[in-house]
Amino acid sequence: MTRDEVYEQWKRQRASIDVGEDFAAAVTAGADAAATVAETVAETDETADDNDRAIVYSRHRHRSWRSRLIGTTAIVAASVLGMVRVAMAFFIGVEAG
Amino acid sequence: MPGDDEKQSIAAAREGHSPAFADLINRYSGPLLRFVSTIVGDEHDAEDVVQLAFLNAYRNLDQFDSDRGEFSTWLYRIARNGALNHVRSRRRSKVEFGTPVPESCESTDPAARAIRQEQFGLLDRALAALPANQRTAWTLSEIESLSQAQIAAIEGIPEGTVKSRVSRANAFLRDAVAQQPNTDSIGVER
Repeated sequence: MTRDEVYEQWKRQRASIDVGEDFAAAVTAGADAAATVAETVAETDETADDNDRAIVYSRHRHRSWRSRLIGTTAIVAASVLGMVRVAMAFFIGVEAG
Repeated sequence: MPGDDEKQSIAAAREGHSPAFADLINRYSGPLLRFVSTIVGDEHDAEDVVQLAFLNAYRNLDQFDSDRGEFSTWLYRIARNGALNHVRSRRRSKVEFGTPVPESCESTDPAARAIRQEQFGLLDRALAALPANQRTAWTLSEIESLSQAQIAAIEGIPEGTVKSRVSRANAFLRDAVAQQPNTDSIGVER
């Protein structure tokens, strides 16, 4: 047998390596499963979009309410602090006078 | 060239007919597995890559345009990209499984069979040692018998580059056979 024949025989052997029906069946089953999952996800997505929008809206509303509370508290606190400082300055000034 | 039955299978699969896609899987799983095996090395990894390639093809079947190329070329390209991504993620590309010795050798004496196994093993290792681009071009040309135009479309390179890659790979592999130390004992002429 020449080296060319060895080489050609090796190539034929590599070309003849085939997959069993099990693998093809497994891939087919996988594709079927993927298709089922894809359909389920697509159906769920439509509902999920609505849910997501509802959640985002809810969070937005919640955040707005909290922001308003914090803002109001900050203004009140600043006002009280300001009045205290004015009062202290007044009393310090009276004592100095 | 793809037959009418393949076109019908593709059209039916696009409309969600699973058995039609199963026909395509049966037709291409063998060639794709052989091709991907030479890129990723490990047989089980190759099965994972091929399965993923089919799933990607199934999900993106709407994107396949028969006017722009053959389905087989499109499928090989998906598998090739998946295999190269797998190699990059695993950082290895060795061919780890050997080519089985042909039946004709099994009936001969054990020494000849062992030598043949060694020769095939050496060629397997030589194939694994090739640069990935030469290995893929060689496999598509010499094992899957695709045309240079088809390989060029799969690899995204000019046909001239395909020709030179296959030629270099053939020369390297033939050198590997020539360097086989035990060939004289089974009558290999040099």
